[in-house]
Amino acid sequence: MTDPITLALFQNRLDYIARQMGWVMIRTSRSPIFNQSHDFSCFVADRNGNLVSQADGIPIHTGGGGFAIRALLESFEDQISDGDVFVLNDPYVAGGNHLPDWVIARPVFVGSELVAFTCNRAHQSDIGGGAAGTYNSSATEIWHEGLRLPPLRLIERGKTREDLWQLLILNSRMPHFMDGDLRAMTGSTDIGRQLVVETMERFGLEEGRACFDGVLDHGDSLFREAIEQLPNGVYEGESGLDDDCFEDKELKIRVNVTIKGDETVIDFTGTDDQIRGFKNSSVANTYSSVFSALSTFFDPSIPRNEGTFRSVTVIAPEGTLVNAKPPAPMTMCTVFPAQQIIHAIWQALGAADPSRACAGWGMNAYPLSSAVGYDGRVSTMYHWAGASGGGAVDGRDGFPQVGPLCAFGALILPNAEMSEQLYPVRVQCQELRTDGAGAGKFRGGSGAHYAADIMLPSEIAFRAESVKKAWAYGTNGGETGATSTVMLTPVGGETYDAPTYGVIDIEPSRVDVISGGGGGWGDPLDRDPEWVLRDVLDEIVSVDSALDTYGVVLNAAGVEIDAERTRDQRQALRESRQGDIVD
Amino acid sequence: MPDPITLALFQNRLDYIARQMGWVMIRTARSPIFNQAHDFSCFVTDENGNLVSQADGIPIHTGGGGFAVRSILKFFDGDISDGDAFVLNDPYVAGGNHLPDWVIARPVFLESDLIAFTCNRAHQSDIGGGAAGTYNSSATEIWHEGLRLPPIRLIEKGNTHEDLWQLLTLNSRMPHFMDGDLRAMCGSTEIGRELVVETIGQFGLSEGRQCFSGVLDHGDVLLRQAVSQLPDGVYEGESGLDDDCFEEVDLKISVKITIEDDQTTVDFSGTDSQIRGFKNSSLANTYSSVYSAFSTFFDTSIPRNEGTFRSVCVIAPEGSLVNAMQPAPMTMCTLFPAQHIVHAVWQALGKADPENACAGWGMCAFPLSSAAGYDGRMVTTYHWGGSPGGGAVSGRDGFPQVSAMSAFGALIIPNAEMSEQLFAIQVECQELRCDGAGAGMYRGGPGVRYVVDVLGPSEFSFRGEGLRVPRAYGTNGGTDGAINSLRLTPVDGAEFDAPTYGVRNVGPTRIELISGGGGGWGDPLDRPPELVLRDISDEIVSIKAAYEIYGVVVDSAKVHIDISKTQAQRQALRSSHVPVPLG
Repeated sequence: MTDPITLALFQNRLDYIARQMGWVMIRTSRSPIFNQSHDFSCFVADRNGNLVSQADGIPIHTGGGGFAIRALLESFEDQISDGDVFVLNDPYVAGGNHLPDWVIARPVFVGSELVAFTCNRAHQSDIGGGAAGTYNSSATEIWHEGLRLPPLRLIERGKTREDLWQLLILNSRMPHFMDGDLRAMTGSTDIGRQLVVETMERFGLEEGRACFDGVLDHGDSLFREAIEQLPNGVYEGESGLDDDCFEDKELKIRVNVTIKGDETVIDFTGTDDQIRGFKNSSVANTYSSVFSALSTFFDPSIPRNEGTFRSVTVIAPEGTLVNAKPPAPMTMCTVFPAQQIIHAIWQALGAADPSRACAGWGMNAYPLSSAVGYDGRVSTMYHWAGASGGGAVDGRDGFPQVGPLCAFGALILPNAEMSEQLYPVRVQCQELRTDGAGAGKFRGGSGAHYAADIMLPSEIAFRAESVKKAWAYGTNGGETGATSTVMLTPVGGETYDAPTYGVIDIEPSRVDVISGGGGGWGDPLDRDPEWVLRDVLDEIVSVDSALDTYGVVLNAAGVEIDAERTRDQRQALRESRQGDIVD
Repeated sequence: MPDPITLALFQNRLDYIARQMGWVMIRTARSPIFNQAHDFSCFVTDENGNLVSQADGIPIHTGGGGFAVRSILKFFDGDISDGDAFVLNDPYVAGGNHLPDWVIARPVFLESDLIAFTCNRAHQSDIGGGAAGTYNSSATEIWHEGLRLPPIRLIEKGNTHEDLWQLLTLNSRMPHFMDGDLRAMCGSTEIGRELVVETIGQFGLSEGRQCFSGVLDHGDVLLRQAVSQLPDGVYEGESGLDDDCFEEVDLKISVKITIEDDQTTVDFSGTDSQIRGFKNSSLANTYSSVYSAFSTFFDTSIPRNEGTFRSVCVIAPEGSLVNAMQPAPMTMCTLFPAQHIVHAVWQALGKADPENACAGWGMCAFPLSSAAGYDGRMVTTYHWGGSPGGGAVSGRDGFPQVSAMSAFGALIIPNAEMSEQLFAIQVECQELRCDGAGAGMYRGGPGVRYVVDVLGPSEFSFRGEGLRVPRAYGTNGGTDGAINSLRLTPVDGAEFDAPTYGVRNVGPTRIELISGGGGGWGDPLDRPPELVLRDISDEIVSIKAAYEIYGVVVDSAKVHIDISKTQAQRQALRSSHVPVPLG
């Protein structure tokens, strides 16, 4: 057994390698979704496909990364050679999470020994299917969602299979992007391979392999220690979806988390059946979501590798929203129900340890618009700038505006000026929202009002959750964040509410997204009045809400706190609450 | 140079090989579309990709077969080995005609010399995309139509690339069919390869190659001779489409054929621009259509190989219906506008040689319905039983009911009893139509009344042409065939307005399709009265139409012709062209 210091150095080294791969990708990829938004993640797995480092990128990509490697190990068994590169995406047969995320996986050999895989999972700009930009929100089958890839050997002993390469890019509306992006993916994994080889050579094969096992074991024991601190018991959590993409429906993700000693069982029995629309989750995505929820709930010093979750049993009944059967569509799953899964688990864990409870995050409602751009080529713009606010935790307000929960901030909201150069849009406003945040001692993120003019006829894919119902729950007395609203106004026409899901063609229009706020943590009356004043000045909290919700009274100019009247107001609000209970 | 008898034997031998490949396919393929309907075609090309024999199957498949093989030669230049097999489908980059028709092409080597390709082009049961069964009539881009394949090496020196094979079947809703069908395609081309090797072995390499050139040269000479018989001149033809799949639009295929001595120019300048819907033609399909029109117009003893058309120059303007630019959808093209192209070319040639003029054929309007079959797997029913009638030529009535014109009868209308066993349908009626046929000395085919109950909820793909405007023109005084009419009556009593084109989900329903008739050839008053009497007995012509159009008077028992009254009526019709009231 390797000593702890060596193991820490080894884990850090692998994390550095994963990040280095990410830097290569961001500097060399062609699509804005990569070089602007970082919608990809690099990771390292051991030779058996256990995820060892996921330091780069987005947890939802990497958490289930092991499924992909294990699928290719099963397909190719002992026919894997140095210089090979594999590609896959399919969630049903290839350990994929959803079709747009393609995995490039490169085996790493030291001498003739397979020691690891360096991998890059990246959300392609387009993979064919029913709608430009990969989000076909009208899909009812996986074949409506684009090209399906089983594990494929794309490069064989250093030689690219050109016919296969042509096939891949031919099935994209944006072959010019995909060609460059695939090169960046294969390049980044080769840099990773070189660095892993170098590391392994320094340690020697035997010691290096012991380190791989060691960091997995270390994650396992740290996580067990954390779980042991919690009282044994069965804890419940629940989160819902607005609709099945076609009609309003009561849909629930339900979880029972059982803690017994250092073992954890995450049981989704009771979760609703899979649906017609594309918000079904694959097994890999459900595991990723579970791992993400656990990683973020506990101490961040616990490594995030697959060993960490050895003590966790996941029960995901077949045919439900968290483990759909073919041919259910599932492109939306990395966003929804990933977020619902995380919310449900956070709620259950929060019941076990309220001090660590995480409030719910706003759900994203911004659409994608695709048009023939200035260069005559089709491009897709994600209206990221309409992203929602994050939830509060003890000690910190929610992020004001952040990409989907599953990315935990790793998706970058691009520069508006850059977007205007890349796409036929003009961004009119992107400002923090007033009174969108769930109130609390620590309030949720505010969300934003985003407005952009789409200047050319476009195909627009809507994928809006939490428009009809508020899902960003508050915790420990905090309040729920506000819902989202999405509106369209054709040039010279009337404003109308956008559908929550669906693909439609529009004429030039303004899109308005008033994005949801995050949930609050703790009693708003315990919030430091100085912070409430700052929120009022920042137009995140209105003077009325400051008074009615936070019990903070400002002077006539609204720039100073009236300390005495604030005390009185808070006292009155507290009493009226008790009165409510008595009545 | 081989003597003419040797050449004839060689051509016959190759034609036999093509047919033998077809027999293998029909006995081993798994999909009903192959083993019931013969929607595939086997052909042989020389080492340069020139089509040498297309004796098997469907002219629209094979006529442009050379485009496919030449694209393989271009992609794999100098890198083709014995034991390889290639697959492709893409109409834009791979010489395909439309995406559902996949070509398996197998190089034939005599020792180390490439001498030919044995090929099978077959319409797959499903290739993903927006609708089950390959016909996504809502498509507006080629990416809505399914998997795109550039030329791909599927088998390399006898070893199948299993990963590619999985990729292909994974992208089909009917992988169980595709897996067996691809094997049948590979097997049939292998049988063809063995037979070509045997044949060339008999002749020896040098003589064998001369035979290939010889049969091409022979075709060239014969067509030139036939064309020389026609008066020099410019002849015009035109045919129209009902709509662009979304709205009624006046769309024309226009052609000018210039005959100058033994040279022919077929110029589509003036044809309308490509459309939003999937009735755009690829270049390979346009060439196939032109070749089909020529082959069927001239003496059937002229070989149908690519040499035959060396003297024919086709001008197909880019961006028009006959040569669409990316990413226009085009799955419908092998029917429409193929039939329109054939009609237009026939009309022009008919002006040069009226005696050989061909009347127009009825256009197919039958839909496809897809549902899980009795075994729980997805299957698609082509309602072939609702096919229209063919057009008349001098000396022969049109075929009573015949499938898509581009197949010229090679598509087999399946046995209704077999269809009821394979699909969840019940065929209520399939009977010849009364008064649907265009009248003439030789009348058109009558078309049918086809009534079928689709027993379960299904996805319907509608693709109905000739529902508004009669397109089955008569010639030399013959009249036009009747239009189609299509009605759906859902079991639940809901009104259902079937679109001409589009994909819809429909509950259990009855389909009633009254299919169009073919056009007539020559004056109806010249039709022998006994033939009219037989048509009356067969309920193809009504007593009223017999009287008013054919000028034939029969007794009420429908068994005797009243000769003197018939003479009088015909006299009256000839002199007045106003029919005398019956009775």
